[in-house]
Amino acid sequence: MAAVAAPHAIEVRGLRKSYWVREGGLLRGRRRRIEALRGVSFTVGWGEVYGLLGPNGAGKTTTVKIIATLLEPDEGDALVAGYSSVREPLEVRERIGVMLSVERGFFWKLTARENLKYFGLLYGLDGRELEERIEELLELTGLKRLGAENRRFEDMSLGMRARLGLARALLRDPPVLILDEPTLGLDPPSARMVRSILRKLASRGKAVLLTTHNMFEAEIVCDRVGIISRGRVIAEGSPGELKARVSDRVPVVLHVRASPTEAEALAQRIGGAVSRLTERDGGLLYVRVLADPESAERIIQRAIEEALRLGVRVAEARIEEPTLEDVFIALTGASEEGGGGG
Amino acid sequence: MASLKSLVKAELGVQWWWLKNNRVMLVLSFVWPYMAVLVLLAMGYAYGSIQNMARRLGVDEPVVYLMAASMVAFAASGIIDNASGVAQWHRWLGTLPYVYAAPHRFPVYLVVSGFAGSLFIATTNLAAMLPGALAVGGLRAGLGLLAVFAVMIIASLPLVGIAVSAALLSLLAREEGNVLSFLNPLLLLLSGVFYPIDVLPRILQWMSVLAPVRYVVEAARIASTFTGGPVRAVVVASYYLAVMIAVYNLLSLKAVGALESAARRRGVF
Ligand SMILES: Nc1ncnc2c1ncn2[C@@H]1O[C@H](COP(=O)(O)OP(=O)(O)OP(=O)(O)O)[C@@H](O)[C@H]1O
Ligand SMILES: [Mg+2]
Repeated sequence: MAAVAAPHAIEVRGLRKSYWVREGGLLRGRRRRIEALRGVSFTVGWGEVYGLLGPNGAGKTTTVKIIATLLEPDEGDALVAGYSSVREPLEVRERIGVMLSVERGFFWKLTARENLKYFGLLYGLDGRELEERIEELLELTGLKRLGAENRRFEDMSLGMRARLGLARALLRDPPVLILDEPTLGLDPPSARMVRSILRKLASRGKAVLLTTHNMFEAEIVCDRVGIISRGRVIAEGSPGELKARVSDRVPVVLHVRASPTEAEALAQRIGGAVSRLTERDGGLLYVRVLADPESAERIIQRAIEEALRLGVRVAEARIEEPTLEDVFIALTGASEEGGGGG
Repeated sequence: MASLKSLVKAELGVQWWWLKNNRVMLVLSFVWPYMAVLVLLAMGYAYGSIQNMARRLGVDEPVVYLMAASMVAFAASGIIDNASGVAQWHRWLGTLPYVYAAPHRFPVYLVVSGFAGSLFIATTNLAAMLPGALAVGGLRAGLGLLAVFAVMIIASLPLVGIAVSAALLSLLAREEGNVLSFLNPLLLLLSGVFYPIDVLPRILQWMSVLAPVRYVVEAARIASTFTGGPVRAVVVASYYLAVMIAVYNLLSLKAVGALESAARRRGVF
């Protein structure tokens, strides 16, 4: 693989990009500038899974599209295996596999096999080689096991579509993979399958760039993570390194048996630090509070008092290790809906 | 660089698979050309009678002429429609980024795909019309139809550059539709399929000299009068077409480059 000669699989340098959008009526529309990227830089090494982690509208898809030669930046450049996405798009396209959206991007009336055959031909494969590659990928992604290889795309589940999307990205066995939210909306088995394939590919020396807003995913599959918010990479490092950054704050987690509004009220009363509700689990709600290590126990004390006052039952209270989510909340200011700048 | 051959295969393949999985469409594509002939015949009655129309258009064999003409109507300027149609289609399906990120230049893809599309339509039309032509006009009519088919393919060559520009424009316009679809009726009007060119306003007559489709219709007319025979028709039309192929495509080369990079800046892919 000649591409390995380049020091980085992907090198993104100072990307800036604005979109112009029209707003208003049919005739009296106004143009407004949305700054999607304001100087994004990072590198992805060979054999590395790099996660671009950020809230909605942070600029993840914009970054990915620029690297994949689909979009031209206003400033900056992205190098793939040493080739410029802006000036040498054909060289870059030879070396990448792309997956942008899980539920679209195939011919609805064609089967999984026919779809793969079409894109294989489009990507320059043919004959025996293509047939064999398709069989291999149907096997690898579990589509064959699911009996989906001759099913039309319109009749496939989201999980099957994601597997098919991954199979297409892998058709030419490219050294660099670029995946935009590859596990969005997938059930745990499908997401696990996708993640394990990505790890396997990285162990064979390929570079994988994925975007996600799933912290758990970033933590378990990524060697390194870049946190992107409002068009800037605001922190970068391995999940461990990033977590060390918030070691001055520990998460206090309460499991409460309460309605969402009650839990919200409780979270507010013990707040000060950011608190939020996450997943529901057998009628229990989780309330998280970031505290500095000294005051953590005092916060538990106060939480139980407040819970009593509100008539909310606390099933469990404990001090946890910080997760990537805490890093994310600390750095991006908690809001999931970051919103684009502009 | 992925080979052109596999690209052609991909585009023809997708047409075929699509029809295979949509059987009703396959049947309909054999019925449509005859429906077009019926419409044209109905127009003939607007002239008073079919014979009247034949005289007005200067043809001997109105039914064969109409078959050839409707084939033209379906396919000669079809490359413009097809290239834009393909681009829009990929946008609707969400396949556009994957097609764009394939290792071809996108304009090359559009040309191949536009051609595959119009060739596919033209071939189905030919397959559908041939039995009809043979039944009505015998072997000579059948040969005439084949000759028109050949010229028709050549006739779309001058439109290649325009077709690619139109496709890129339709993507840039961010409209959910083919913004240049008005071009096709215009080309057909200028072609003399429906009205003899000499009844058009002077300015349109001048414009028709520049419309490649006109020469295909000319060929169809000659073929249907059986005077010069299909061979002469092909030669005459080819001469004009060769000039147009060179001029039109050189002119649109610059436009294609500019439009593609505008599309890439705008984020349409
Ligand atoms: N084609 C476009 N035209 C106008 N604005 C756009 C376009 N694409 C993206 N934007 C805007 O640019 C900003 C960044 O969008 P982008 O899609 O890159 O974010 P993202 O991180 O992928 O978000 P998400 O998690 O929702 O997918 C957003 O504010 C978005 O509204
Ligand atoms: Mg996105």
